[in-house]
Amino acid sequence: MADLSKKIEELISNSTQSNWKRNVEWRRENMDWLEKSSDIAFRILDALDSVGWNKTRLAKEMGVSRQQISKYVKGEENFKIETICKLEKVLGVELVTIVHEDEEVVRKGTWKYVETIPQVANIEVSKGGFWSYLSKSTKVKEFSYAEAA
Amino acid sequence: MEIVRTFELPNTKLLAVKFDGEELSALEKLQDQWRSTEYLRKFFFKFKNDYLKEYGKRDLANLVKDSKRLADSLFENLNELAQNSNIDSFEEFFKPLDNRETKLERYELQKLKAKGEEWRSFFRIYAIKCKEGIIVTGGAIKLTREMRDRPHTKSELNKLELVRKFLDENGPDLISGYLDIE
Repeated sequence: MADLSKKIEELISNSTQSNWKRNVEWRRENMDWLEKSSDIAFRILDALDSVGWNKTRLAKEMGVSRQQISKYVKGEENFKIETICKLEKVLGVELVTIVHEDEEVVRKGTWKYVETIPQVANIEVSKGGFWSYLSKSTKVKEFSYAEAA
Repeated sequence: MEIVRTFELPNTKLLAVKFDGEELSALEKLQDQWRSTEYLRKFFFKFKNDYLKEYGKRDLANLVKDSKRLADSLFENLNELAQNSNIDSFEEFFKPLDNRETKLERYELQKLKAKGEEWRSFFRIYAIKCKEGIIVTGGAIKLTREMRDRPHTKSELNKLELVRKFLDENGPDLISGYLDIE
């Protein structure tokens, strides 16, 4: 065990320091715009799937390097509005929407409800009599909806 | 293989391995993957059935967004605890990899894991205990019960064993020995 300790000490004495701590602090300080950048990255990736392009093709259409596109889709790019407009034009999608005062954002989705229907059932018992009881059956219905986000 | 520090000396509580041929240490690599929208989207798409089975149906965009928040929170906790003077709270953050070992049982070269604080978090950081601190060997998004169930978690088991053996078996003169990972 003494050898092990000596060995680890030696490894540590020759060690360098990583950027991990700096990266943790950087993400904390820039969290607000990083979340938005990540949303844009996700939309770019969805759009690439829709048009059937890879990053190399997008790089060619945008006139930038493939490495630059990799930065865009990582979700840590501080995009210029000019870049967003160009991406929207090339991919044919809207990446960022500005909602005006007389407009509202609507969230699309589906919701389910379970309907419980009481039913009267009869069970024949001995001596020709009947017992009645309530049984419950359920029905699941699904509806599409749109509501203000 | 190299050992990389996370903080300025003399703080050696949180160390990480850097395998030969890799640009980033094991901890930086996790940071790089778990903050990447592209990586997380691809991962959860590939393992959507595992996710569905364990956690239920989920919209991919929201899943990626929440995963990034979970990863940030996990790293923030680790960062804070490793700089805190209370060594116990840092060591308690890591649990024995083997569920049969008690939570506070500790010994040299023990295989450890840390996970996000959120209920049923799927992020895992794997490490080895040594007197000087914790040596991170890697990590994974674990969506199945057993590590051996999927190649990406199984390879983390291999890495843990590889590093443990490297530290345990080789003499100091073999410090720059080559370690290969499949």
